[in-house]
Amino acid sequence: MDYTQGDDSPELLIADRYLVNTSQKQPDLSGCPAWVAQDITATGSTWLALAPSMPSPHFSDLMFFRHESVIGLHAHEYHAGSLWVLCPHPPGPSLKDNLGVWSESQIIEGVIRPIADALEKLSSMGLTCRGIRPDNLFVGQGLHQVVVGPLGVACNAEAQPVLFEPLSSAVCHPTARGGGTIACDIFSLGVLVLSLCIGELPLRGMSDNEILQRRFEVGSAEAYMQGHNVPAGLVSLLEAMLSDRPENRPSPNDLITIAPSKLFSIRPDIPARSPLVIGGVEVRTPQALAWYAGTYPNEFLSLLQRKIVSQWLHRELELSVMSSLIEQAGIAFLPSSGNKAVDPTTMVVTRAIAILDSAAPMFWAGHWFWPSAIPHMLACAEAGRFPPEEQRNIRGIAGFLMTSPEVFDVPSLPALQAKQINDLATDARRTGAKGMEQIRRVPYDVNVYQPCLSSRCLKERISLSAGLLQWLDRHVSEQELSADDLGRSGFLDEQMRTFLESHCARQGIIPLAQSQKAGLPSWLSDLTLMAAAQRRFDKTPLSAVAKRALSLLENELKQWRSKTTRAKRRARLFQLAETGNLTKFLDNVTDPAGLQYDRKLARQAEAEIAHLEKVLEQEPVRKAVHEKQARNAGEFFSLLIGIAVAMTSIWLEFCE
Amino acid sequence: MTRQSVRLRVTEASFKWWHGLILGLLLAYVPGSLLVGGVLLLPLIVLRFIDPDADRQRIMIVLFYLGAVMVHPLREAWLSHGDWEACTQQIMQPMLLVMDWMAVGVAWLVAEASAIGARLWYADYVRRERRAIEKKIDALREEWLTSDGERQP
Repeated sequence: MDYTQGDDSPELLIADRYLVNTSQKQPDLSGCPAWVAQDITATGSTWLALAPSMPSPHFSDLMFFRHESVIGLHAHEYHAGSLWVLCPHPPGPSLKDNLGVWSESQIIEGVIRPIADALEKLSSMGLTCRGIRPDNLFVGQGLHQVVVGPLGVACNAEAQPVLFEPLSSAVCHPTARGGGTIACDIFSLGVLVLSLCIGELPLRGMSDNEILQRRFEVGSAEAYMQGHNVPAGLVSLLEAMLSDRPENRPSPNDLITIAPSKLFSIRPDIPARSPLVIGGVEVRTPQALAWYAGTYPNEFLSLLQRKIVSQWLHRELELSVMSSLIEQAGIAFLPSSGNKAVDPTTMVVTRAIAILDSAAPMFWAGHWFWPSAIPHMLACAEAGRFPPEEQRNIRGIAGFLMTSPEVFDVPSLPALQAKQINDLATDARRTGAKGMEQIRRVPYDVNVYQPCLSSRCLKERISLSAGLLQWLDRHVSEQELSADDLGRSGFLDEQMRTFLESHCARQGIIPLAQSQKAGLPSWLSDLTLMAAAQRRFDKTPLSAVAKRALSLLENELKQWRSKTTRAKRRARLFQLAETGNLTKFLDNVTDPAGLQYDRKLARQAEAEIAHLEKVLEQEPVRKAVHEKQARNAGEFFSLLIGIAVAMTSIWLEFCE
Repeated sequence: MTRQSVRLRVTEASFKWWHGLILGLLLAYVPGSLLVGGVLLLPLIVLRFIDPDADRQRIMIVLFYLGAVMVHPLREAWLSHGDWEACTQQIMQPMLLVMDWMAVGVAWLVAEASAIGARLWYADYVRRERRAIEKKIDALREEWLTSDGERQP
């Protein structure tokens, strides 16, 4: 990805303090692109600047996590709305390049105890690490002390190789692994310990699928350790850590207090003597059967209906409870039962898998996933990391899980899955949205650091509302957003709208989306949304956006009846566009009180016009009145003159 | 109402029995003065008969003009103690008779002229008022009933 911010200069000043030269890229750290950053306030001190494109939803908790075995975060800053994380340089090269053979005591002192301690602390905070893999572990020169890369800058477990993941998450697509549990971290630690014991990664040269097959065939511990010379003192520890049952793995506390040659006893799973054949593969454990049931659902269903599965479980593995549950699952789901949206066979497979392996992730519609990973899967789907077909599937699954969690409300569902589904449904309900809008909202609502997934600005990793507004302000020119598009689909695309709505909702402004539903044109509702976001998050002017909206808003001025008001408001509109305060800009046009007053005056004016026209029509009537008045006035005047003449005559007669 | 009926009604209403009594007394005692008054009031009676529109008010107006002419001859008659000779001489003066008859004309002329003046004044008033109203209507229409689009290209 191109992380230069559009300028010609490759240098980037983050928070007026850290100078990043984007032309000199460093190897990725914790799944994030990294560059060297210079602190210009302190000469000579350099940091690594990471550009996380999809930080973990728990980033806000993880960034304050400090431990000697974890590279802590120095600072996190925003530049143009995108998140930058600054951390110290790793103490040395990663284990990927020089695995080497470590002695038993070096492993215990330098790997197991410190990392178990870190895991214990994380576990007490309710967090997981999910970053224990060779390329994320660093060893200082000449030291035998591993340090884990920064936590939370990439989504949990996404970058973990299949080899380092327990089966419960290895079967999932990397994006579908979710947060996992601390037991998953213990497994990864076990693989790391084994690799350091034997000086190389186990099962080298095998593809992911081959690794999975092998692990399901003989169990992970057996598959990994077979044919390797493992120090005798660590064998029982490794067998426990690499167990495929999470409950068999030791807790971090057990590992902190570990001493050489400490014994861990676990009850090994006894594989069936005669295998069950599904899809041409022989399976000997319920876990393996569960996995192949997902691979060959049709064959599995036919076995289930013929009760071969339950008989096999009962006779070969002597698991009578599981056998009867499986039998019920096969029978119970006849087409008669309620929900029409669910394909009965899908549901049967899902339930059967949950019964066969309580540690397995959820299997639904051909996908293995943990429900808690759904928001991240949606985000990746929106970011275009999947083919379109897959994107639709993921949205379908997400929509189904969010809207009908009650379908999965059965006793046979493992508690962890049930909890995650419940949490997901709660998050979905909290969005207050429906349908596609809800599906788009969830990634943003669960992760405050989720960058805007709009294809227009995905590269910019904008995770601040203010940043998005300013980006928009820079990218609303005629070339980037034609007038047609603007009039039709507004300033924002769906993802930007959802992003802003989510951030506004976090601040307690809920009914923003209503504006579009209320029948406003989309550009106007976009402006309203941006104005609300600007009011809340950003005081910088958005003049370019305002100027683009000018012509459209000018049309909107037509609803004002008074010509003078229109002219006045238009003049003011131009002024406000320069100022760039969208709230005032919009209020100038969409002012309900003013509009009502204007309407009232207009009605009065119409009445006045009608009245005056009536006056004009009545003119002939008044003309007759005037005629009469003129005659009267003439006579009166004439009378006055007559009186005057008579008086004069009398005066002349008698006084002269 | 026809001309005939107006005249009849006016005649009936005007003359009562004591009018005749007064007239008889005047005829007996001052026939000269009565003659002067009668002759000089003749135009009024003629007007009464030839002009159907001559209502009480018009008669009153004309009376003032006639009165103005009558002042001098009646004083003469008074001074001559109603002497018949002097009175007949008075009414024989052509100038007096001309003035007497013209007084009616002048009264009519003044009435008409001032009526025309008043009419003109009213007409002007109406025209000004109409223009003001039309202007106001135009202003209101311009302010409230036009849209900007109409005049913009």
